[in-house]
Amino acid sequence: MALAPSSFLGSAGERLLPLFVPFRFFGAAALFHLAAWAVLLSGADELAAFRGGGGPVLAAVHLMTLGVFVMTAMGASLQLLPVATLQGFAAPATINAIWWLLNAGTICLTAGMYLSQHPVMAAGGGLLALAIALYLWLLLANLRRGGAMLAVVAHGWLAAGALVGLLGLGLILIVNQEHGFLANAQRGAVSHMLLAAYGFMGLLAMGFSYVLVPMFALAPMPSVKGALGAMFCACAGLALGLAGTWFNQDIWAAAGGAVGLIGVTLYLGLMVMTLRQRMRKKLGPAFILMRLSWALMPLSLLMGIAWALDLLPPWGPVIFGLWLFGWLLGFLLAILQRIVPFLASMHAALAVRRRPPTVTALTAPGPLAAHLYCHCAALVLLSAGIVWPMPLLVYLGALAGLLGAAAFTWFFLLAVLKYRTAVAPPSA
Amino acid sequence: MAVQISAPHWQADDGRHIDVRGLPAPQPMLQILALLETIVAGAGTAVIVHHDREPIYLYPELAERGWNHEILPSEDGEVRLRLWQDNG
Repeated sequence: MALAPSSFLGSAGERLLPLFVPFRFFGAAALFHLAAWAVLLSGADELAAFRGGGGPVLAAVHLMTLGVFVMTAMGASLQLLPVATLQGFAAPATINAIWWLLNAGTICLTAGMYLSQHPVMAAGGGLLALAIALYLWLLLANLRRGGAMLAVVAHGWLAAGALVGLLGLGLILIVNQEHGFLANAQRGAVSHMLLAAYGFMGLLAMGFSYVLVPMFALAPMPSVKGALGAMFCACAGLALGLAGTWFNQDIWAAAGGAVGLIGVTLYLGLMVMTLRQRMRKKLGPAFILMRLSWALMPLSLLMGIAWALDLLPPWGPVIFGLWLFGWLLGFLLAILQRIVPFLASMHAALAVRRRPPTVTALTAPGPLAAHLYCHCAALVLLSAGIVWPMPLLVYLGALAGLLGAAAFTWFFLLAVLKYRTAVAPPSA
Repeated sequence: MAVQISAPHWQADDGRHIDVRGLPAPQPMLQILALLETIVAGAGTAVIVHHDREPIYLYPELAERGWNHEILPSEDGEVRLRLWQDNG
């Protein structure tokens, strides 16, 4: 005799948020992904010569970082951290508030950047600070209870520290745009970027890789010592890079890049070993995107080292930024295209208490293939357009990115519709 | 198959049993899936899983392989699942 399902829904429910919670974050990320490419398209002729300052390129960068990276990271961490810490999040109203504040803050900040309207930008910064403070409060409360997965929890702590730093620097940069009190705003902007990319996003990406890659590939988790070693190198590299940037010591910054590269090599080695031990034979297109993003991760560091040593031509820093984005965007979209149908299938199993629709049935291979081709085309065309420089190539690259983002949004909508059909009560 | 079945497993009248209690994630899922791979499709063999929590992340993998699941009555601190295939 089967036991009434409600007897055990408690234990699952404590570890799981309702599906609409992470899906709101992922849905918003898909729309901001579209918006970021559309805004870059409108400012395509400015990309090759971009060296900071307001306008469409800065707005597109922040639509991508806040709207896609942070939105996805928050949604995924709220859903997945309970797996690592075995502690649930019992704060639906706070999570709801975070989602609204993050959306409103991102729209305000990027609109202010696009239109060079400082008060709008400052209002957006304030809303984002609130969203991030609330998220940090939830994150730290969950991490404080420890957990079964030491490596993931340690990455979470350090990512939270980096988030505090990048938020503080971001707010200082907004105020500095109006009052100009920083001796060298460029250093502040580069430090903000390093903390965002290699600090918050990079550490979160590395930490969750140790859960998600084994889960998706069906493989044992990598060694905790190896993961902590990679994390130590990544953090030491970041600290050196920040110190070098802040104190104008190029050799420190380059050394930071080299130490970071050791950390990345260790991390990628752990990922390769994990995949070699996998049970799942066919990994699917998500892992093509994942491998592309892994290739761009050390390449971005090599470009960063060359930049610190003044070995790059004028287009070098923009290519560094593009490859950095290529790494994080590819990684997050690869994770999203696996996790969206996976979570939908899992929640459907809990909702209907019978065999749920499979991950394969909830995935849309056509839109995902279209996204993969467009994403790769966008990276190649943007790189070529920046190096030569040819605004037409940048324009075509942004257009390819926009088409890819539309295909990805279509995949997400199809997954939601298929899930709703699966859990709908059978018609009489 | 890279994963070896190291968790205690045995045959009983009601099917093959596997006890994955106390294993760190994702070992319970890997051990269960490794056991399922040894079962011939259509043989009608049921699998009884002894777990310490509801294995919610396992359900999509079971569905992908054509296995159904239900929770059975069990002692405190244990979640017991029965897995079976439709043609079994």
